[in-house]
Amino acid sequence: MFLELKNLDFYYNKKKKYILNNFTLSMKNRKTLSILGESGSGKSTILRLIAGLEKPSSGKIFIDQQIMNGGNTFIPPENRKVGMVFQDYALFPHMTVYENINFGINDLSKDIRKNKITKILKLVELQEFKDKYPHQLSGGQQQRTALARAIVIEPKILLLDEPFSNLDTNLKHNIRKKLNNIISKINITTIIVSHDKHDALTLADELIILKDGEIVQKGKPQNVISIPKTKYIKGIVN
Amino acid sequence: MLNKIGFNNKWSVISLIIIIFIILPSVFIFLGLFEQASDNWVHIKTYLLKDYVFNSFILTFFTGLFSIIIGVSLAWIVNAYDFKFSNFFKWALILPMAIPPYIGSYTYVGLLNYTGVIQTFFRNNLSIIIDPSLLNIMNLPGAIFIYTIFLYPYVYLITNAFFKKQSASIIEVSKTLGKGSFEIFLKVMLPLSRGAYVGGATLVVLEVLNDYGVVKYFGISTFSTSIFQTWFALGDTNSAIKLSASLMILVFIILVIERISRGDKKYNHSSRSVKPLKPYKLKGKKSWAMFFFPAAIFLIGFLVPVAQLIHWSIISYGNITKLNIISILFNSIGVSFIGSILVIIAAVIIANTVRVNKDILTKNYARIAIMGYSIPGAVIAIGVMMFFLKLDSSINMVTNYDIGLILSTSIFMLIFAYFIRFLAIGFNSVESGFQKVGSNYFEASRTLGKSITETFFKVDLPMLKPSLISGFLLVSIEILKELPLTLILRPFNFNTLATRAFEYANDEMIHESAVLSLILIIVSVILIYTLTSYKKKGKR
Repeated sequence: MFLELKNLDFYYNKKKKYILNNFTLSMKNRKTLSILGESGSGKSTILRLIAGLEKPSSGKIFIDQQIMNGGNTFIPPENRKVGMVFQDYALFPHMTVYENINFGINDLSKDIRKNKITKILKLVELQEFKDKYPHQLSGGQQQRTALARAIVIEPKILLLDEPFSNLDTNLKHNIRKKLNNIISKINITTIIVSHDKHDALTLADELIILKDGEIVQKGKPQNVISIPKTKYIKGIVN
Repeated sequence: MLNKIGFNNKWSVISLIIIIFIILPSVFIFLGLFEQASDNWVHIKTYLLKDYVFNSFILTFFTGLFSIIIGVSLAWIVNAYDFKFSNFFKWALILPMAIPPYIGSYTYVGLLNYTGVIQTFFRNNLSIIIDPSLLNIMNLPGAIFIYTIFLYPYVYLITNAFFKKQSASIIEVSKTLGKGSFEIFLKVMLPLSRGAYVGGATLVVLEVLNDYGVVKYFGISTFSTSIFQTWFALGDTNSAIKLSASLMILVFIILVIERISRGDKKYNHSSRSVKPLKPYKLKGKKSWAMFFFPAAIFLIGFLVPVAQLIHWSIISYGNITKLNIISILFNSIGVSFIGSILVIIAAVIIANTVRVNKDILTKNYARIAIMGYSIPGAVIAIGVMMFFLKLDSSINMVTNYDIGLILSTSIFMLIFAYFIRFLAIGFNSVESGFQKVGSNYFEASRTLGKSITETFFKVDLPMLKPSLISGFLLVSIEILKELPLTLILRPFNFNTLATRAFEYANDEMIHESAVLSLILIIVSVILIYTLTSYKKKGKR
């Protein structure tokens, strides 16, 4: 398996209220997984644990058979090669589109960087916006800039946290298609956290439904959505 | 026509009157420029002005730079890391602000001179004689040290507030892109906070230009000292006005540089949801290592000078009764209270007018209201003095009686000068309060048939209360510490804690000065504490 989360527990110290309880998940390489669940179900926490932004209370995380977490091992986020697109995109407001994308690869030589950024800009169709600042972009353009910045470092895994939550409903369909196109082209292991079934249907090979930090149903998106096991799942996928 | 330029209600008329009063003293300075130059001015221009400009430039440039380095790094450390006593430092690092630089200057001179604690300790306990010139701080680098250590909180406060508002995901995304803490600070947070720290450093620079106490005590010639000298020692008002005008030009250049350095880019968040920064918890040695820097600054900027002042106060305990402390304290608190109340009332009137009237004339009220803070105290003092002398002679002329200098020898002149200088602080506080409240409640009330005044008292005022109290406390602290204006414009025999402490120190009666300085610091600390805890409560 390419990504393995083994018996992960995660709770906040103060109240010891579990966000994840003995959570286990595995994924094959170059597949796209969608995680659906209500707010507070623990779906964003899973992404943050994989990225190394949170330390699990116990359990292990492996990426490409390398241990990231477990025992005394903790690989910090800057050394994990995990690309993440945040819910608010987290674009650096003082940098242009080009500078934002350049940020993660500025240790490479100038020519290589230029080449990489040109390719990525073409992929995300932002060539003509490269000198714009984030506040001069539309929601969809901001999202693609954040995506370009995450994939230019050639991550092993791409994590997308509620990628469409900041967009208007009318735009979502179009942008979802564009995103699907980009993900298929780059062909890397991707996890998308969402609360919209359409994201899973358009983008994912596999879907899991999360409730209180536990997987309550898992399968092909079409199957899970057409045959929900419980009333709760029905509520989520309808 | 009048409606078009904003005279549609009482608020506009009162605002205009206040604005005219703010502008008038500057007009006197401006007019003074065109008067024929005296011989003194020719001498100053030929031989001395160069020194004033050079010294003022060196002091402002290096104090600004070091304040940025200390203020920004401290603000970053307390926001990004959770270490030993980090919560205490968040508040304590503001405290050096309670010590006016002139008090700090004579305290450090006393600490470091031949009979001071440090040299005495080395001499008596370790038999080491330190070369006195090594510890002599009565020079330009020494003044830069004093200003930096007691004024950096301006940069710290503004940058700290900026970092608090930043989204955690900006840091997290940098980590996923392979960046370590130092690189994130250098490449992301530092450029991002440029507007904040440039704003803070500008306040520091304006404070340095305004200061009279430190440079006078250290014997450094600057614009402030030269204005005092030409006016009081040479009795040459004309040259003092010309010097003031030159200083105003310097201030103007600084404000233009500030505008340019802030940049015109809008560093707004690209989304609506912002998750605040979560400090990274440091354990063991790392936690203690991080403790060291803020602890050192707190020690130098607050604990050491306060401890020294306490020590001196104990020594001069027997003289305390002679100092007439109660009446001096009463004077200080009195002028500070009256000045702050007037500032807040005027700030409310102007800010509400600016909010309600959207015409061109009113738009400029806000700019004029904050103008005073950028004008150094000595300059305001000259403008206000000229204005009040003119008022007095007009009263004498109109009434046909020679009733003398009624206004220009009264406490009103001093309070009016405080009002001009510190209106900016009150106005900014009130204006941000209005911005937080928004216009929906106001508009709802107006559609329900209430007038602007009725709406203000019934709807706006209760919601504005936190901003008004914050503004009041901030202005009170500033007036309490104020020195140059008070020295020039106080009525005969009128003393505040600041003037008396400065006079004692200047007469080398350091121990007597310490008692008054200590009281001033204690009152300031109480006000700062009330302000910060009130703000915290307001957030909850």
